Amino acid sequence: MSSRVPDQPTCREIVELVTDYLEGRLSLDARTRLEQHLVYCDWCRVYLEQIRQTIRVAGSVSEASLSPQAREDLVRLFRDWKGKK
Amino acid sequence: MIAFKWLSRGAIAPFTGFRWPIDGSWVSAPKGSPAGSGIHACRIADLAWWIGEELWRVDLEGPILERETQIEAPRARLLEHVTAWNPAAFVQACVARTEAFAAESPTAELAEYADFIKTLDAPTASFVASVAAVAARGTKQAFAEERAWQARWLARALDLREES
Repeated sequence: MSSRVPDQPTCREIVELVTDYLEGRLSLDARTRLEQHLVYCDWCRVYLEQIRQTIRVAGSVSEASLSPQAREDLVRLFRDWKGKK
Repeated sequence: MIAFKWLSRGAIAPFTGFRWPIDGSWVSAPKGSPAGSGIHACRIADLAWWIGEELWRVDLEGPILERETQIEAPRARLLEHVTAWNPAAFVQACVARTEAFAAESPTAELAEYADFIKTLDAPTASFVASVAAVAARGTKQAFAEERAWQARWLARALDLREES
């Protein structure tokens, strides 16, 4: 359906633009088109809200606030990821 | 200048989450905000691009920037909740338009839109009817033309007028 629509971003393009949108780095034109898409697209609105909440939660977690177990799990995950690269 | 603003339920701005005061207090954009960070509102012709749960008549003050589908001002206040806004009636109008497109050009694609649109909320029905217009008329320009038709429908149904 979206191939019919002139100058409107697709959901895939919105996903790529969300971080720049939340950080206020989009041009006015790109921001307007993204917000016009959000008006009618539930999925992208939900996705945007999930990213917003992730940023909020991640921003409030400090190293000192982690339990030893969580810290150990994260270090292990990071090592596994580095090992696979 | 008098204009219109779509908000989410409870007079909340849909993109920023800002709760607008409904007692008529003025709200100002932060001083020195970059272009595009002022208070956005709609002329009647812009209404169909930004459909939301609540429609408000707003008073804008300061230099007004006019853009393709919205206007922007440094200061605004809510004047009146347009309680005549009836999303179900608007969806019905979009359904009728899409059925007319499907009757005019009987393709599988338009038949699908005519069926699908009956299940949608007002913002999505506005979008799908505009896509159906493109499919029926074969020009990308039909998308904006359909939004313009919807804006005229809203003005008529809600008795809206442009005021300076």
